[in-house]
Amino acid sequence: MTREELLRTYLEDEVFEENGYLEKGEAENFEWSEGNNEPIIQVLKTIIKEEANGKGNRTITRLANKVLDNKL
Amino acid sequence: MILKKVRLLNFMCYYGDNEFEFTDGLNVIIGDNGYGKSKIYDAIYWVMYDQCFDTSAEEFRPTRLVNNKLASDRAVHEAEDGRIKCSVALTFYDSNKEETYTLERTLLGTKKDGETNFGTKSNLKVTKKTSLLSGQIVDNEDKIERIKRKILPDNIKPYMWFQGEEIDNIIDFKNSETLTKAINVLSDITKFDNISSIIESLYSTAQKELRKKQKALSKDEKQSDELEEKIDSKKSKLTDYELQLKNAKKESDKAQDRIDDLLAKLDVAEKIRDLDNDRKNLEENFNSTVAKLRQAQYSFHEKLFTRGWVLKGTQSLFEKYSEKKSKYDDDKLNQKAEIQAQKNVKKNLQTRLPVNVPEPIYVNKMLDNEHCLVCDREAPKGSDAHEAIKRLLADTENSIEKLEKEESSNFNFSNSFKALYDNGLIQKDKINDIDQDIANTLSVIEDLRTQKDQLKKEVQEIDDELENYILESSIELNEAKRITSEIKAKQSIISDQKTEIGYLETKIQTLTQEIGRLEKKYENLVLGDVPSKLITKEEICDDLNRAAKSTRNRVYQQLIERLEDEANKHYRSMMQDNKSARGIIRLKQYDGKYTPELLDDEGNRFTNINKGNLLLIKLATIMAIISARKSTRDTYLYTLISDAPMSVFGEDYTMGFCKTASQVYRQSIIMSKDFYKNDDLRGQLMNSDDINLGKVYMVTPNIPESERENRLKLTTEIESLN
Repeated sequence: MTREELLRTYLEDEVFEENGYLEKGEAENFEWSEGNNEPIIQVLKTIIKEEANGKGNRTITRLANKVLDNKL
Repeated sequence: MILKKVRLLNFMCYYGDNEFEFTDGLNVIIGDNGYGKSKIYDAIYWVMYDQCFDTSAEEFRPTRLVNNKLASDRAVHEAEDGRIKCSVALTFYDSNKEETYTLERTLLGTKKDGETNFGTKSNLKVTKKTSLLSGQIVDNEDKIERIKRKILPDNIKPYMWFQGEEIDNIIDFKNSETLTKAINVLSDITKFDNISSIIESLYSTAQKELRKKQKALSKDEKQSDELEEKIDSKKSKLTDYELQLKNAKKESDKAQDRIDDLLAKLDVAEKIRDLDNDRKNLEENFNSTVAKLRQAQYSFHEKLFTRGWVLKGTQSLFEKYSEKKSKYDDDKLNQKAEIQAQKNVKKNLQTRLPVNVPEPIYVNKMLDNEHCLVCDREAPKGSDAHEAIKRLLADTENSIEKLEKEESSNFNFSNSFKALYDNGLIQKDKINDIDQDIANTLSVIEDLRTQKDQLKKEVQEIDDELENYILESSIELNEAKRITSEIKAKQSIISDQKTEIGYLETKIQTLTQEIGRLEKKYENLVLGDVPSKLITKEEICDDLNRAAKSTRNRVYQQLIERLEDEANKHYRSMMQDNKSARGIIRLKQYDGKYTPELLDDEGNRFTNINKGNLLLIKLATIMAIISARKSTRDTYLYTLISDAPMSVFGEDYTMGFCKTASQVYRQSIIMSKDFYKNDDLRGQLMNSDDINLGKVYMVTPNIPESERENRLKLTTEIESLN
């Protein structure tokens, strides 16, 4: 499973549409390189990327927290 | 990565240099039992894990414990003094990277004065070839391990490399952990689990940050602290109650599942119990009959004496005895009569002179008168004439005395003989009845024997019936016996848990309300605005946390559904030639764990699945885990290597298995005897359009196993069939 497929799988969850993070149907064709600035998507991408890189969970949490702080 | 080549040098029954080449698809090594198929599996295993299957210990053992069993006996025998080499080389090819790896394990031995010693350590040499490198030796241990993991990761090994009899252990139906573990190992779900854990931790951090800020802005920090403490304490209690509720529900569900399970088995269990009771009665009857028979057999010998059977056939002896006794009695009577007659004669001679002899009265008168009246002459006392007259008298007396003496001196056994005769007379009637008596006794013994055999047969029939029920239903005898009491016990658990669940739900509801009120109070203490960034962050993390959890569950559920579809597809495919094919595989969830079960068309669970079917469900489920990930994950890159995978199923399943394996695995290498014995099956394998067939080999030892007392000439011939 590629990281893009993984990201799409998460984005297909109803939370993203219900809370206005994504438009209806947007998740299905979402691309990794898409310039979406939603902090929730940015942080999710960070987690997926660093997890795939084999980083430790604590490091990923710290990096994700930092990304979130920067985006808000 | 596929296995391209296996080269065996003096390895076990493979004397000299031997080679198998394999391709994509289903590769088959055919041979009868004892022909050397399993040795190829052992060879591959030995190279990878430095362990080899020891038939005497029935387990894989390290080289140091089997070092004397690895080399070909013939190679050892024929070697001159010096070094003996036994090795196996595996060549793997990674088509994505165009890399070739050769792993060669060697064990060396020395022979001196006819005695051979093998080292306890083998040597593994790994060579890597790429389009750029002609052959580079990999000597770094870590790199070698990485290459081995690339060939087959340890956690995937049980599902890809196995012997037929191991299938049963790969997934344990009674332990839902094993299938869940297999799913986790062979799927991406662990990745989702890991991401969920990271997001959970991120959410917790965001919550703490927000709480910290709220506290800092409180108009009454002390009260905020107290409230926070109370909230934490109640939340902690809430967590405990929620956990207890979860456990209670789990316990109750488990008990209900068990009841459903037991109720489904109840009819069969009762049948098993009844059969067991019948068997016990029959067994008692059988034991009693055996005791009677034994007693009858012992008493048969006693009756030789107690019933006079030893006299059997002596009828003629009694008659002969009778005749002889009569003759004896007659002889005795005659003898007696004769003596008596003689005595009478003698006595008569005393009163009446016989011819030429004067009567005694006259003899005495002659003696008194000293005058012979016969010749009318004087016979004075002391004269010869007087003496001659005296002798006449003495002769008569002597002769009677002699006769009486003779009579008394003759033994007479008449009485004894008569006693014997009388005794024999009593036995005579018995002797006539002996044959009938023996016949009657033998008839009784025969009846008992027939009864015993019949009872034995009936016990055997019940045993067979019991075994069938147990095998079909998977209900053990002890389980069948306690099924009713177990149902009651489980009902009692459900009743108890129901009360507990009610109590806990009330507690949780109350606590949740209390926490809500406390949180409201806590928020009311905050003066000024909490930075919106922190609130937003906490909300985003909350959303992300919920999304992560539900995504994980959705993916897992989709995976399970896919697994079910795939498992059923493989199950049907493997069952294609079997007329008893039935049922649909469902993966039943219990507390987040899954276990396979077989349902009928109406969704009811089959309870009496035979062992072959159970194993097939397991195999289909394992294949499903592989095939469900086929296009997206590297399980497709690993080779299935299995020694006699169909051995537990029977030939009905062979072609189905081969077709399915060739569809599921990019490469599979199986060892099978089914195609050796059955020419028709082999023809189907070689010509099937449904099978992506790789290489097929036939292995044959030069000496049949029955004549293989001496292995010193043993070698194995490899014939490529395509």
